[in-house]
Amino acid sequence: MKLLQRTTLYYLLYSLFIFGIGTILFYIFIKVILLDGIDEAIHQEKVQLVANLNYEKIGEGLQPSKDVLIMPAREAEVEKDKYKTIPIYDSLSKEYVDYRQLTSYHKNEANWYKVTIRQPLAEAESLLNSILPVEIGLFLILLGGVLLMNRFILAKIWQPFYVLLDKLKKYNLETTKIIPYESTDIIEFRDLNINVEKMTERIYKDFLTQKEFNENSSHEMQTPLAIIKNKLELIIQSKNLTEQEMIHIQSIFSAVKRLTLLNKGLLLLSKIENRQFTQKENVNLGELLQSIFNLLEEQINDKNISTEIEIKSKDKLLTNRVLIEGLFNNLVSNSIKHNVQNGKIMAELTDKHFIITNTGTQLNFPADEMFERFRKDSAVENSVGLGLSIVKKICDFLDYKIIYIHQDGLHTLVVNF
Amino acid sequence: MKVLIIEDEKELRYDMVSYLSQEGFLCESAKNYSEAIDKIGVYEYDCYVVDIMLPGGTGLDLVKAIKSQKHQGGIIIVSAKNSIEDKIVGLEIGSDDYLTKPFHLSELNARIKSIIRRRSFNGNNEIQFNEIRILPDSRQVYINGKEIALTAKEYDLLLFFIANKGRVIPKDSIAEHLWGDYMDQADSFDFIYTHIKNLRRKLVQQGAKDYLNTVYGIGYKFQSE
Repeated sequence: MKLLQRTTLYYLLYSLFIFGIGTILFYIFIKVILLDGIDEAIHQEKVQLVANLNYEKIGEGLQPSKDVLIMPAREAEVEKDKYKTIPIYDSLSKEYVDYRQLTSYHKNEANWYKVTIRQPLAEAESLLNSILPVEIGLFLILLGGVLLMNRFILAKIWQPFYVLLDKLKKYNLETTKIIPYESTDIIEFRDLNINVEKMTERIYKDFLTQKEFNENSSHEMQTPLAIIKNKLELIIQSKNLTEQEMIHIQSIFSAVKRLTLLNKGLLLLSKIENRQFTQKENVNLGELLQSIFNLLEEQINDKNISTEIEIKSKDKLLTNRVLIEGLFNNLVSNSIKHNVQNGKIMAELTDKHFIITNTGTQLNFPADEMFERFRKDSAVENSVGLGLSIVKKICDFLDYKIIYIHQDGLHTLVVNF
Repeated sequence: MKVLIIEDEKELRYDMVSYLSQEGFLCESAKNYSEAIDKIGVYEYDCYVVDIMLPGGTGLDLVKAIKSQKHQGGIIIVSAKNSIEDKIVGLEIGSDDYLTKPFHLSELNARIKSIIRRRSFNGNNEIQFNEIRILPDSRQVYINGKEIALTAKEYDLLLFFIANKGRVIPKDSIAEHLWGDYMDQADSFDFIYTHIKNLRRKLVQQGAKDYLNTVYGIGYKFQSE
């Protein structure tokens, strides 16, 4: 719910409450005032009538209208004047109509008689009944007015806010970079705009620095690594090395190799982050996948893993070749690396998705940490722990969705193109 | 065979010169763009090893300069940037190969030899190592005039060994040569062993001498004595 809608809702609820109470009070007051007036009128009429009775005889012209009734009464019935509202059946309109009736007892000479004066309440009731529609009408006008005003406020006054919100939604460090300040005459929005500009500027600067640092440090590491590698190669040409020394050298070779792989992985990650793989071409995924399985054939055979590869994709996919190759390669390598002896790999490729399932041991960390950098299965040596984070980064960059499922000892990764 | 090594990093330059000199190459080196331009302007080499990022200019411009001088030598671009664009541009403007740092000296050596061979024999080349004769263009191997059948990996291995004959080749280098980065280090050593065993068996069965020596812990050495 929008902020304005919410505040309006509260305003309207309050007005509804006030209108409700107001209507009830109004109704009661009007009713009291009206009845008072009517009672006063019939009282006057009675006074007049009683005065007339003193010199006119009952029954002779003393039946002024059908609303006035004079009847003899016994002394025992005598009561004080009494006003009440009674429904009387009207044979003309065939319904009950409310009347205000005054019953009064008077003594003329020796005889008591009862005077009943009625007055129809129809007018008063129609007046009372018109209160509710009028109030409802007013409330509706208020509602309509408020809604119209909201529209105007949203369209005009809140405009800068929604413009900014839209920009923030579409904000992308790579393309938007900085959200520029836009002038507005509302102080809060102006402050907001100024600060958003400052903030995005700072974020963008940090981002650039970090990006540059990541890529540069990876590059700078290549040369010392190359020197170590080359020096080792020169050292091993020596004929005077002892066996122990050679074993040490081999360990250094391994360590350098690992550092190199790690560095290459980090470099690839920062290159993807730096959007250096934007070029797209039509890639035959089926051929690519098959070639990767062929390249890794020896590893597959070594663990005696059986493979079921189903390639059902017909069309070429418009994508970045380097990235999609990295994606497949990492996923297939992983399915071998984390597999068991005599295990199984099932791969399915269609135009819509790529699914790879492998047998393997239970993860020793939570599944949702799977795509984090340096998250690795400690049981697998030589893993630098970047494979799946590269996979994730590639999927994010290419806008593919990747899901991990673990069921019945099978690890499945699904990539939706 | 004259090789010009253009590399700004002193240690790397020294290592390359040192390794390649022992292979019998006449090595010269340049440490920056202008020095390289001077050397290219005066001499012609059989092979150029060009680093892309150089003080004073880019290696790609050097490749263009070499080409504009109509030099016939092969060109290998070396780069710390594993960038496809550089690779494509480099090959387009006339370089023959591309190596990403860090690389093994044995790999560089094998690539230089392969380029020089391709360029100097114009398709009519062959490699002779004692009783072993290789025709690289058709990937055929003969021992004492009799052809032997090798798998693709065994053939690559043999060629790599002969290019680096007499040198100790680390297992890593062999693994990278055969599989690039696709293979896990730990696994690849076992697979190397299998391929080497098969290659050795095939060679010896067909009457070749056993030239392959295992260097304990580190790798292998292919030598005639």
